[in-house]
Amino acid sequence: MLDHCAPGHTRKQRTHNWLVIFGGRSYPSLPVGAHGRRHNPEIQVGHVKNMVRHLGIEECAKSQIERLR
Amino acid sequence: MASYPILFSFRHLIAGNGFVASVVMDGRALLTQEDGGFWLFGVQPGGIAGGGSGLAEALNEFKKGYLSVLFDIATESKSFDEYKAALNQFFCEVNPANEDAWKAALQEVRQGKLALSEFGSAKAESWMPKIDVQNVGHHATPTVNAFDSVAEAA
Repeated sequence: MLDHCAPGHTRKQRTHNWLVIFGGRSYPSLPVGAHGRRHNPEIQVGHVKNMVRHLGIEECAKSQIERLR
Repeated sequence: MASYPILFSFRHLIAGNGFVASVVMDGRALLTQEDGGFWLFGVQPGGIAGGGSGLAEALNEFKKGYLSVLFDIATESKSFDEYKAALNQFFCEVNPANEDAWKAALQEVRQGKLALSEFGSAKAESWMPKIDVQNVGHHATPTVNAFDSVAEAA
């Protein structure tokens, strides 16, 4: 979703969270996941919802992720 | 889906690389009831959120999310000045969509259409967002000790 809705974004894995940077804004609290670092950690949809609002990509994200609608 | 305007004050001592920082943050969050539970979404700072099946769990998760950011930045910061600058940047990023919803919810509260019995209320204008980060290191005194607080904005 980020590749489509936030082209050119950067992401960095920190100890507890992913830091996602796009359009001059930073989202620092996308959880790495309850079981530590995995390829596809389960992330509660609320975190994704907050991130897309914060980065200003909510409408695009809704078209990509049904649970955000 | 009801949304409530929340005010919070968090006070913590955070250990960094060669420093101990006192972090005092008064912020705003939007509480919503959705997905069969509760979510707190950051307004200022906007980059945090936490949810749970009950209000207490949501608040706990929100605070853990907040602390996890403070911890992450402390791990990366080579100096106190770097840490303070990064926290100020984190604090200043408002979540614009959540802010609009927060202001709308505040109007609902003021019109008597909305009230949350779990928290006390406080005038929003008397609880403005602010951050204060101090290097306390060897200079810490019990005066830095303070309780967190949460209220519904009125």
